[in-house]
Amino acid sequence: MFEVIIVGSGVSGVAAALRLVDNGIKPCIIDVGMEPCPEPEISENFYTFREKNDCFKLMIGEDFEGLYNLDRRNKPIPAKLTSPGMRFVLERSKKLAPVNESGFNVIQSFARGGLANAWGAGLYRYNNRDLEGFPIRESDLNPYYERLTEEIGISGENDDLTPYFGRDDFLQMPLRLSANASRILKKYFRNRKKLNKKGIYVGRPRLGVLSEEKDGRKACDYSNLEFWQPDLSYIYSPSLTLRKLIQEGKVVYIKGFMVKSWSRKDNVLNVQADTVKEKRTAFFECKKLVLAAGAVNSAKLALSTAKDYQTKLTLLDNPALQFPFVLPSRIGSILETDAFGLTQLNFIYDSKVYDLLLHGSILEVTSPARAEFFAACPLAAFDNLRLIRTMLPALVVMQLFLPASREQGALLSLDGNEELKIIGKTNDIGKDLITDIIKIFRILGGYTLPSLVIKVPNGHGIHYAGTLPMSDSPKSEYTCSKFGELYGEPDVFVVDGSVFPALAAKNSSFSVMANAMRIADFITNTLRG
Amino acid sequence: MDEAERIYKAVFKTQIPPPIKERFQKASKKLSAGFTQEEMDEYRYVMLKISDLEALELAARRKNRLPLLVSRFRLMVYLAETMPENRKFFLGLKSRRLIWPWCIKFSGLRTVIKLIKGSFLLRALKNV
Repeated sequence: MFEVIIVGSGVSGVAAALRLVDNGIKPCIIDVGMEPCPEPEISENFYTFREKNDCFKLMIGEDFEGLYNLDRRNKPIPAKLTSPGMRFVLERSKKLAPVNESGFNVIQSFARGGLANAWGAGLYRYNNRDLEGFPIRESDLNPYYERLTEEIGISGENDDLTPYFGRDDFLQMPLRLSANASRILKKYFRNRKKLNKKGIYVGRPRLGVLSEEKDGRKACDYSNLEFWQPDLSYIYSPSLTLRKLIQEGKVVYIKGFMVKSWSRKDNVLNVQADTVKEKRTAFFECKKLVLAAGAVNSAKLALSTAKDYQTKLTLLDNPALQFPFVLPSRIGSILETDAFGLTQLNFIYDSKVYDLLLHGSILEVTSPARAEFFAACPLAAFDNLRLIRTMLPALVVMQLFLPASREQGALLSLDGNEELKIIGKTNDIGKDLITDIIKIFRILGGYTLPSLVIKVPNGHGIHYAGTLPMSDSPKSEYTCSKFGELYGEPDVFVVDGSVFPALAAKNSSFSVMANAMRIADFITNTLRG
Repeated sequence: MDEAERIYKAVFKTQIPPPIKERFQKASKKLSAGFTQEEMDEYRYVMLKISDLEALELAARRKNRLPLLVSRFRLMVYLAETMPENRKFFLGLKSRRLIWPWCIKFSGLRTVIKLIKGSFLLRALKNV
């Protein structure tokens, strides 16, 4: 019998495991554990590689995985997840956890390390303002943020965004800025007073991307392979910590099993899991069960265990908008082939007018295929290519996240065939807000048209939360205590985003990890009396 | 010329490299399943009768018509980008900072002409 079984190896599962290991407990992690195919590693810059090599295998793949979004039968997914190197992230997810969706496109991963294998690695602390409605405060999470910073290696800077991201004295130097991002930041400093009055702040992101070597992991080499190559050691992924814990023999990792439900006899929890390949059922006993399968699958597990085919749970995700901005002074420049291909800057709009705090990530577009932009260009095919060559070196994309409240949440339930049903609600994002952001960005030197702004489909924010919310005094099923213990289910703890009762407009992963560690400490205390 | 050769020529104005032709044919088969018989018949007719595919695709893209033709153009662009010799079509490898306003004006004008032609072709197709 195991002291603790953790279901899932994403950000929350691995953070909980790390803390339990810190506390001298050897947890067992049960996971489906899809892994990347052993492809030959590219050791040079993406664009240098493309000078001499046919990149069909790298960019499209022998099974044409890179064309996923061209297949009309498929619901579109973010471009990064269609890359052949990243196919393992979503592998078998449709078969293992079919979802009947309407108005919400859920993205699930059964990979070792979960969706974080393809994340942007943005790691932001929740402050007391973000934690409104939570039974915890910033001070409850701070010690865990520090432990995680030590484990992960976070690059960034204490700058104008510190009041929003929290002060961190252990950051690595920020990554080198691209030419586009440098211009935006210069414009920000030139117009700082005016912008700050409007509630606009711009600064360096906090990224789980190394700017300096750490524990044998190399620093970012600006190779632009972020879209194409999994397991880049400079981008943190929970699978790095998991691999280390397995090698050191500090966790038991059981791969190839999908947990279906749990039952209880006396004080022992019996976890039922099916093998992924041959559909064989196995049972594992434990004292404490930790659900870390993500907000969607942890909720499914809770509903499935209770054989509840009626209850509808609220599923949250940050609504998001994508603004493509062109910097006129950079049009026609040579493409910057050694820029970091993900987040360059962060943008905060602390708006008194809308009573909203919005968080934007300003991204370089050097990593994705140029073909991704072809359909969005309005000219004839041959002229579209000219437009791509001329305009893309001057283009940045801002992904703007809005907060998610329970009133806007999708509804998740389970049907009699154990299939999930998710019904989304329409999120009306005001045109005034879009126009305002466009005007503000002009001060930063970026121009766009309202018609080019894309409303990201519901569910593509990929910050899922809220299905099993925690509160000070949980009074009903499918809610958790302050320490993540599921109501009416002693010794069953939820550590993933499910327990977040609301979502601030920022990537929640870092806070989910910190909270998972906090709950792991509580579990340790109950085990050790 | 077969469909791959014609689409490649319409987009890139050069001969299609053999590996792209082979991949286009394989990928086309795989992606066809999402289209109706009517859409495929329409596409076959276009391939037989229309010479300026670039003009027709532009008009069709703007008016949400001929989804299979529009999809095949996109497919060709994805496949073509993987070849080292095609980098010049996709990547800004030399500075155009002084000439870009003329480039864009020329492209805009060319697009307008193509759009007018494509709209006529699309209307003619409607009457078939």
